Amino acid sequence: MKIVNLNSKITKALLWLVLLILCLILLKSKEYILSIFISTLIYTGVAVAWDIMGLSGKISFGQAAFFGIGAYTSMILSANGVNLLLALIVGGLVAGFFAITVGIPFLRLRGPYFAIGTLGLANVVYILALVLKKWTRGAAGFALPKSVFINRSFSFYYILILTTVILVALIHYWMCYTKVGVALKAIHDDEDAALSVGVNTIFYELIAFGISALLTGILGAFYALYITYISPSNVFSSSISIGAVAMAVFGGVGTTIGPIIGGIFLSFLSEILRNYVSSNFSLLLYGIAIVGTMLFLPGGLISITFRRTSKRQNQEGANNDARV
Amino acid sequence: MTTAVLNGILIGGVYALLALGLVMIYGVMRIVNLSHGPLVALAGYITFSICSLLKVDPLILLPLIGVLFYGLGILVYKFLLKPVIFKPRIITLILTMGLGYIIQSLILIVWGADYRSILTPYSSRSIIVAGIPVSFIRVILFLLAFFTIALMYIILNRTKMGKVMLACSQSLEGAKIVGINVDKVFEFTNGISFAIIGVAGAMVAMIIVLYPTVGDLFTLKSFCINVLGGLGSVIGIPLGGIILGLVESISSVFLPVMWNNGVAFLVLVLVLLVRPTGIFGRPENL
Amino acid sequence: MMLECSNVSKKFVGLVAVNNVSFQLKENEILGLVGPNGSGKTTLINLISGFLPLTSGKITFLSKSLNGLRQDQIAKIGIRRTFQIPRPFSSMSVKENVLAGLIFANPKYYVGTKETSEWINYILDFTGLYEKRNILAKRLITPDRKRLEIARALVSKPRILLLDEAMAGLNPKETEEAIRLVMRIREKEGITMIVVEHVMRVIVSLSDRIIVLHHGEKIFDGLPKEIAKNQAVVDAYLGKRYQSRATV
Repeated sequence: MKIVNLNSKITKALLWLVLLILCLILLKSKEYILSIFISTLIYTGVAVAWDIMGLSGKISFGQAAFFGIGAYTSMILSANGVNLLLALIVGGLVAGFFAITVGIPFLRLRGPYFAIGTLGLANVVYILALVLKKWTRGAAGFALPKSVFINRSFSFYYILILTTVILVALIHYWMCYTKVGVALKAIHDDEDAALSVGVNTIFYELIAFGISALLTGILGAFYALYITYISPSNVFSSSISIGAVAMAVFGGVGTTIGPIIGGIFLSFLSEILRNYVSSNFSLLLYGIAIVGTMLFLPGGLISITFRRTSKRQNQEGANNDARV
Repeated sequence: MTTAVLNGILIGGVYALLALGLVMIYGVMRIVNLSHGPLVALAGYITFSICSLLKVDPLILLPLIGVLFYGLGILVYKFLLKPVIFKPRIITLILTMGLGYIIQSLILIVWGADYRSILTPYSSRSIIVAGIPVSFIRVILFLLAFFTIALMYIILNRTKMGKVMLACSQSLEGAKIVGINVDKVFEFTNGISFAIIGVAGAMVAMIIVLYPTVGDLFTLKSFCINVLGGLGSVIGIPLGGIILGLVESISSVFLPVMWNNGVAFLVLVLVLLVRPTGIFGRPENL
Repeated sequence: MMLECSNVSKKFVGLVAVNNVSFQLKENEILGLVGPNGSGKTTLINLISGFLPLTSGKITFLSKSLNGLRQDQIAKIGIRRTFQIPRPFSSMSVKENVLAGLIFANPKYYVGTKETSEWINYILDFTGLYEKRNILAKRLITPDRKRLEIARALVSKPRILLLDEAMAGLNPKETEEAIRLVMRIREKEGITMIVVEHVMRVIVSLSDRIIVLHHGEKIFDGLPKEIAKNQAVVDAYLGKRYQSRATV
C-alpha cells in the first residue's frame, strides 16, 4: 500500500474542522456524551500512533501490548502516590523502551513475519500480565486504591485526552514532513534502495516503532487512570490492536487525518453497536471495514479527496512533498 | 514423560496438516493468509455443533467439513482474494487479517464466549503403543493426518493440477507464458487449502478446548511450523509439525499451563532470528 | 588511491561469482568494467557498495577498509551506486527521490532549506529531469528512470560513482544522451567512476581504463585501445575460434 501524498489544503482544512468540532463538544458537558468522546479519542489516538509505525510499511498487529504496558505502569505508579502527569509520561516511556528493546531483533524480520511476530508478542505480554501476579494482580485486575483516588470531572479528562491526541497527531504530521518521514517512506517503498541512499533503516524503524509505542503507552496510561480499573483482558485485548488497524486503514493509512477520521467514524459506530446489539458486533464492524476498504478503497476514506488532484500532481506541480 | 513425548509427536502430525493449508496458499498464490487461525477455529466450532445436534461421531464428519470448506475456499477466492491478488502484498495481508476478524466475531456471535469441547466415548481413552500409554484419539488423528498429507503429496506430484500448482509456485510468469490458466489454479489451490484447514481444524477440535480467540494461536503455530520447516518447502512441514508438537509437550511438563502457547511464539522468533530459511527452506522462496 | 580491491572473492553455494579480483581506481578516473553476462560485474559492484558481504579479500577506500560496513555507511562515506534495473521510490516524486538521495548520504543538507532546494534543482536540470520534477516516480518511462537513478546517486556529491549498466534497455539515441551525461559528470564534477557495461563500443568510448571480467576472474586490465587485440577478451566474448578484425 503506498503512502499517499497529502493534499495539504484539504488535509489541513479537515484537521482544523475536526479540531473545532472536538472543542465544541466540550461545551456540551453532558457526561454521557463526553464519556463517549473520551473513549473515541483514546482509540483514535492509538490508531494515529499505530500509523506512525505504518509509515515504514511494517504493519504491527500487537499495539495492545504497548497500551497495556502503559496502563499497568501508570497504575502501579499511581497506586504508589505518583502524580497523574508523571504516571502518564513514565507509562509511555516504559512502553517505548520496551518497544525499542524488542524492536532490535524484531525489525530484522521481513514483511509478514514482523506482523505475525507482533501478534505473538502481544500474546506473550498478555500471558506475562496474567502470570506476574505480584505486580499486576493477575486476572483479577488492578483497581486504583481509594486512598489515592482523586475525583476529577469528565471535562478534565476530556481536555487531557484531547490535548494528548492533538500531540500525537502533531507528532505524526511532523514525522511525515521531515527527514524521518522521507526515510520511512523510502524504507516503505524499497528497503534496499533506501539503504543504498544512506538510510540507516534499523535506526529509523526503531524511531518509528519506539515513538509509536511510547504514544500508545501514554494512551494506555490515560485509560488506566481514567477508568481506574484495569485487567489483562481489557488492556491487552486484541480488539485494541484490531481497532487501531481498522481505524487507520479505513480512514487512510499513511496520513494524519486518515486514522483520525477512521477512528471517530468506527468508534462511533462501534459504540452504537455496543449499546443496541452487543460488543461482539464491534469486532465484526472492524473486520468488515478492513475488508471493504481493501477491496474497494485501499487508500481509505481520505483517498476520495485524492482522485481529483492526482492528475494535476502528475503534470504540473501540486507540491505535496517534504518541503523541497 | 515418554507419554508426553509421544503425544506431542502425534499432535504434531495434525499441526503439520494445519500448516500445509497455510503454506500451499502462500507457495502458489504468494498470499499470507492471516485468517488461517480463525478458519481453523470455525471448523472446530462447526464440527462441535453438528456433533452436538446430530449426535454423530466427529470423525465421520471430516469429509463433510472438507467439502464445506472447499466451497468456502472457492467463494473466498472469487469474491475477496481475486480482486486484490496482484496488488501490493500489504493489501492482501490486511484483507486476510480483516477476514479473520470477521470470522472470529461471527464465532463469538453464534457460539458465545464459553469454552467448548468435543467429547466422544473414546476421548480420554488411551492405548498402549510399544509399551507406552498414549492418547487413543491422537493416534487415530495422527494416522488420518498422515494419510491426508500423503494424499496431498500424491496430488501435487502426480496429477496434472498438482504439477501446475508447483509450477505456479516456482514461477508465475513462466506458468502464464506456457498458457496455464492461473485463475483456475488459484481457485483450486484456495479451495483445497481451505478444505485441508477445515479438516485439520475439525481434528484439532477433538483434542483441545475451543474458545473464540483460539484462532490466533493456530495462526501462530502454523507460521511457526512453516518457518521451522522452511517457508515454501512442502517437505519440511511434517518435520516442523512434529518438532513443534514435541517442544510443546515437553515444555508443558515443566512449565505452567499458561506458557504452553507462548512456546510456539518463542520458537518462531528464535528460528526467524537464527535461521530464517528454516530447516529445508530455500532462500529464494521468501 | 581512491579505491583498492585486493583479492576480492564472492562465493555463493555452488557458484563462485567473483574470483580473486584485484584492481585499483585512481582519482578522476573512469574505469570501465565489462564482461559477458554472468561474469560477475554487478556482483563486484554489490560487493564494493556493501550490498553483499565479501567471502574473502579486502576493499579499501582512501586506505580505509570497507569490509563489514553496511550499505548506508558506505553511501555516507561517499561511494554511491545505481541499480541495473532502476529502483526509484515509487510513492515519491522525482524531486523527493533526489532529496532522499541527498539528505542521508550528505547530512550537511537539510530538508527545506534554500541551499538544498537549489542544489536539487541544479542536479535535476543537469540530468534533464527538471520539467518532470513533480511527477510520481512510478510513472516515469525507462530512460527517465535511469536518469533518476543517476541523479539520486549524484546529488550527494559522491567521491566514487558506480554506474551499473546505466545504458541497458536504451535505444541508440537515448544511449548517446546517456553517454553525454556521463561525460558531463566527469567534466563538471570531476567524479571518479566505475562504469559497468556489456556493450563494448560504449565502454571503449567512455573509459580511461578497462577491466574485463570473465567467469568472475579478471582477464584484462588496461587501455581501451589495447582491448580489441587482446586474445583472452576476444575468446571470452566471441568464442575461441574467432579472430578479431576489429580496430578501435
